[in-house]
Amino acid sequence: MTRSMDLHADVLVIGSGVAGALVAYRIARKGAKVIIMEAGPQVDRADSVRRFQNAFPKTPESAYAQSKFAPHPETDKPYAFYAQKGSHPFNSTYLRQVGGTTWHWLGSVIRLVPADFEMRTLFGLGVDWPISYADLEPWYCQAEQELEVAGDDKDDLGSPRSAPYPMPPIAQSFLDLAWRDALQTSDYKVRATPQARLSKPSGDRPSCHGSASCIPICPIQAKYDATIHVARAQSLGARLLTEICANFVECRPDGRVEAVRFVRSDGSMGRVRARVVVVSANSVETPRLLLASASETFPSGVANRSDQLGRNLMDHPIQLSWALTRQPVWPYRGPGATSGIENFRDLKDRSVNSALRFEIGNEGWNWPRGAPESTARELALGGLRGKALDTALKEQTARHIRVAALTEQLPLASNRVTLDSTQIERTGLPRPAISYQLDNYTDRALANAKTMHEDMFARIGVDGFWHKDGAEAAGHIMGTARMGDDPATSVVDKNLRAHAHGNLFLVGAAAFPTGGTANPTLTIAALALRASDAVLSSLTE
Amino acid sequence: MIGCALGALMPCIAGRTAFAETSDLADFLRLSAELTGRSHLSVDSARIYLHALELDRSGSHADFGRLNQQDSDRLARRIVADWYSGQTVDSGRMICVDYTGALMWDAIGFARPGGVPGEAASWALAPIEK
Repeated sequence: MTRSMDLHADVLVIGSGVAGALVAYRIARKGAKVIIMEAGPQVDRADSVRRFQNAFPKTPESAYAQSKFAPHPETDKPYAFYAQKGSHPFNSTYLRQVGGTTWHWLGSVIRLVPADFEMRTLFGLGVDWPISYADLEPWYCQAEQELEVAGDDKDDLGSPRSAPYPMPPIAQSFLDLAWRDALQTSDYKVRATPQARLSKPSGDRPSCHGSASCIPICPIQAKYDATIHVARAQSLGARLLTEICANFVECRPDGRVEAVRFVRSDGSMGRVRARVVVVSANSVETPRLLLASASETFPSGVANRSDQLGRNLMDHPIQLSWALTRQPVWPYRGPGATSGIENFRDLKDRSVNSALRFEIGNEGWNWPRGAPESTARELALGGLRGKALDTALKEQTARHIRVAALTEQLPLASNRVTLDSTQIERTGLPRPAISYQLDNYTDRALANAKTMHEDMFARIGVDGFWHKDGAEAAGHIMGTARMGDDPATSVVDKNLRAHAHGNLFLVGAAAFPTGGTANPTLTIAALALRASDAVLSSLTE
Repeated sequence: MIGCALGALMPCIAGRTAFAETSDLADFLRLSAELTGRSHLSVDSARIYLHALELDRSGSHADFGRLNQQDSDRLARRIVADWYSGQTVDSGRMICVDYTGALMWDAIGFARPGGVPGEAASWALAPIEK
């Protein structure tokens, strides 16, 4: 291996997902010299669409080549990447490539509700955030502008707004309206979901054309992904380094970060010296890098004097249920989800029962059953042929519905990311070891969701329904570097600056003290924009 | 009629070590067309489905020549399932052969394969019958 010369920057941003891309863009806009370091490669969209179409199974990662240098976890192989140490395999995944996991996100951009920031005060559970909803609200507005969110200004989803959405709403699906009408007189209020996909063209991006493949890939980039802000940052002078993985954060005895060591995919190594370092590598990779940076001065890793780094790993464990309606609802069309039920996210009994967010899928039984392919095989193997097969296939698939209840998982110190030093990646990083379990609060939430799903199905009118046994992963990896005012019990402060390291910021869902039930990307974006100001201020220190 | 077609194909299969030869492929395509009722079938896909069938039956070639009605029926169902789903079982593992060209899309009618853009907001309406 060879060591190359050092690189220099005002700000080094590690990771090019939505958090890193937004920070890099904001900092570069102010004229600072920015380096974005990404362990994975650039992605070719057309190649990825073809890879997805040729794949079996069609998992969220199926559109993307697995990298030998910086591999990513895969939904259908929960034990291949993570060293699973807990009673329940952790199966939320992420991508290591330019743009990060926004390549295969759904595109739902939901704000947290105000009570989500005060779980300890209001419900005696978890911890409070060191900031309130009101503190974050202006940044939510900015995040919605950056992500060009399409939404309905008139619709109150429980999160007060001070600015309109930048885009008119995306049309709800025919299927959504069937749900809405059937549940009209119930407590389940079906609402259009705010989405980071274009409802009208913007720049060189077209509006959403219902390609029905948001997960894993939008073929026309109508759905936002972080490559947009990576490119904008580059146009402002930021330098993007790909297939270069940070593997050690060097700190001075006073805690300030001196440099970050890296390795390239060809094995050569180097260092970046930066005045400020932003680690925005997701809730597994961020603690992984910092834990792997243990030194004599920081024996338990960088930013880990509190022993909280890596702990409080959270997801939104999902109860997935599906049914066969009596009337056709015409699924398998449009964006993956265009509606949800939001009025169970802010209940008064959260000390006992988890908040729930119900996401109504437009993709029929694709998630639970791999349909429509599985339906076609089942009917053909059952002996149908010709016109009878065609008719049955259309008649059945037209009635496929599914609903996913996102539950709030409380932060548990024992749910954590550590390192498996017996498996060292080519990046020099040990594989992440995950200790994970679901507690009674989650078990109860899943059971409640099942009951409510059955109630919904009864109101809609179905010929049969099914529940997935056990929790499905949401892909919403949160916690592991929680923010808080007390350095003894948290990793970063309310500006996402590491407590013991004045020029180190940890930006992303890792900083969430609790997870609420909102898909996390909009909150990640809002926090990233808010932290960008603090990063800029720190450059003058 | 389908039974006849299977009967015509099976001795041919049984007598060869590899399916993917031209005459076998033509026979398989003829049989597939008869089973699915579709005349325009992908030759590339046919080659893969035929090969997968061969692998599935490897070690029991002798049995091919003595297919009973039950075997023929099972084989016919498998061939239809492969063409409709665009998938097949290759050495015990499901693979995708032709997602966008799977016959199910024509049959379903109201939906397109994922990754193929349609018309903006068309999902808000009931599909227009062809």
